[in-house]
Parts: sequence; structure tokens; C-alpha cells
Amino acid sequence: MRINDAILGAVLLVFSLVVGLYARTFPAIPGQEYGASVFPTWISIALGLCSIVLIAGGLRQWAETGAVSLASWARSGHHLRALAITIALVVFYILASTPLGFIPTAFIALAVLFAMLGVRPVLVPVLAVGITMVVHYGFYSLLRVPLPWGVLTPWAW
Amino acid sequence: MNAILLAAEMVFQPDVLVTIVLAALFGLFVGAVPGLTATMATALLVPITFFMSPVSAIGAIVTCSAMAIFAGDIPGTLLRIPGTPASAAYTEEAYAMTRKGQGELALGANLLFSALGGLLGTAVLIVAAPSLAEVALQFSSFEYFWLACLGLTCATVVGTGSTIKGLVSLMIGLLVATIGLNNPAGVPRFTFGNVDLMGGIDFIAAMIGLFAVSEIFRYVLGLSADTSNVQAPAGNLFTGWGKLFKQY
Repeated sequence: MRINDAILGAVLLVFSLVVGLYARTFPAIPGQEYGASVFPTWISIALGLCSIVLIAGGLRQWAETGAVSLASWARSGHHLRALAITIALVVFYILASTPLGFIPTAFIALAVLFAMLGVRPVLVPVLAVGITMVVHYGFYSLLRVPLPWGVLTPWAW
Repeated sequence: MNAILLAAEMVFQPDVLVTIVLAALFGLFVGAVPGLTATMATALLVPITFFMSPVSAIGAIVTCSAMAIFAGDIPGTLLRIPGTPASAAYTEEAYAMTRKGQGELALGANLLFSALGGLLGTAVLIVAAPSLAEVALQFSSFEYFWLACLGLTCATVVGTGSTIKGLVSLMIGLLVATIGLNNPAGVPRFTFGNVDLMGGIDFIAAMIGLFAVSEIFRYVLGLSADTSNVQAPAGNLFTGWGKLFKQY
């Protein structure tokens, strides 16, 4: 998929303006010329200049390429649904891993992914449980990463 | 010269060599798991080295970190997910070779030149450590600033097809690096009240997000390159290393 550079540049220009304005709100250090806002301000100025160059370049090619040329996957509902599910699973893990615990969350995420990617239905729960427990053993028991227990806290080891 | 011979005699003991092999296997495993770095492998190994003789312990630590750095190339070459940050720069190229059926050659070249580079570095250090230290001591803030500038401009100009897009991604990267409390004023920047962001964005987390997650997106969308074509065996590396050396 190709998005015209002018659109990317416009988004970046807005982003750099927001960053630059937000950076102005950082408090200055009394008696010092340079505070926390110096680097973000410079970066936003440089990013703004880059985005203007991108816009100029993109507008020149606008006639040939159009605004957005969609790749084949962007028109396929199956692929778009798969992408949405993948992103939703990452968000689900972020939100649910603390209250629900690592083991149930990882099991659900893996089971959904496997089912989506066409693993045989019989194997889905087996693989999901197996891989969850291997990852849990590796990171929790061997590497001592404090993975959350959530609802399984009474049975924690 | 006498000192070098004495050192060689201490290293080439059976027990030291066995320790080195075991440490290499451990480093190979840790380095090949994306998200576990060479530093982490060394940190995990250090408590075990308390029970070894000094020479074995140092040998184990050096081997383990060197091996973990090389092993980071393995998932980079085969899956386009770098195992350690050190492998991130050439992941695309190595993966492109795998796609053309030259995965074994790519891994062989990685291994060969990791080993050669390590040996050369050690040799330079043995011969020139004191004079290098004198140069290093004269490095001050100015030199570090220009060194960083050189690195960043190289990454922008060499690394991408379009210089302006390279600059844009450089700026976004620098912006991500400003997140957190780590600035002279100690002001939380871009944390939006989130405690987890105060320490900044860790390099490992960024690498997993940029390489591993994007590779999964590609796979889900059916965009992953077809890697089913047969991998050409590279043959014995030691017979062909002269050719490799000339080619790269």
C-alpha cells in the first residue's frame, strides 16, 4: 500500500506542531538557558521542516499516483479482519494481563491467534496451553520476571 | 610475548575449554531468543561464575557475550526479527538472502565475520590497549557529541532509500528517546502521567515492537515473503572462507 507523501507530510506537520507546542509547556530551570523543552522543540522544528519537504515532493507526484493506492490486502475483508484481531489481541493483553493474570490472558490470545491462522481445531487448546506454560516457566521461574497472577493468585507458585 | 604464551597455557586447559563450550551454548540460546540480549546473558551467567576458577569464569563470560551477539543474527536472518539490538542494522539484508535461498550463506558469513572481528578486536586490544586508552581519555563531551552526530547522519543517509524519510524516522526516534524523566531538568516529558513511561522507552521493547510485531502483521496479512524455496547448502565454510572474505 502506498500513501502519497503529501498526506504523510501533512500528518507529520500537525504532529510536529502539537509536539512543539506541548514542549513549550515544560517548566524552565530558573537561572539556566537550557531546560527540558530544548530538545523536543528542536526535534519538532526539524520534523516540521522534513514534513514540508515531504508535502512538496508528494504534491509533485500527486497527478501520477493519486492520494492512496491500496494494496490487495486492504480490499480483502479476511485480511483486514485478521489485522484488526491481531491489534485487538495486543490491546487485550495490555488491558487484561494485570486483572486476569498472565496465564489466562496468554492462553486466550494464543488460542484466538491459532484459530485465526488455521491451526487444526483439535490442536488449538493443546498448543495454547503448552506454549503458555513454556513461556511462563521460562520467564517467571527461570528469568524471574514478575508476571501477574490475576485470578489465579490463590494457586500461585 | 612471554606473557601471551603464559596466558595461552592457562586458557588451553581441558576444564577451561569445556566451560567455554558450555558458555557458548548458553549464549547461543539466549542470543537467539528475541528480546534477551547479550548483556542479559552475561548477567545471568555471573552468579554461576562465582564457583569457577578465575580463568574459566572470564572465559565463560567473554564467550557467552560474544556468542549471544552472533546468535542474535539467527532469528534476524531466518525470521526478520533481530535477536539482539546489535543485529538490528542488517536484518533486512540477511533476510533478503534467506528469501533468495542463501540463508545458510548469510548465517555462515555472519558467523565467520563475527569470529574474525572478535579476534581482530582482541588482537588490537592486546597490542595497543595502553595507547588506545590515552586517546579514549581525551574524549570529552564535544567528541561524544560529534560521534553521535556522525552515527545519526550515517544511519539516515546510508540506511534508507529516501534521505528525507530517513530524516523523518531519525526525528521520530529522537523524539521517542526524549520520553521519560531522563533529562537534566528531571521533568517528566511526554509521559502523560503514566508511571511506566517515566523510565523512558526501553530499547528492547522498541525493537520487539518495531521488528517482531511488524513481522507478525506482515504474516497475518499474507505479505510475508515466500521462504519455502529450498535453501542452498553453503558447504563447508572453512573451505570457502577466502572467497567469502573477498566477496564481502
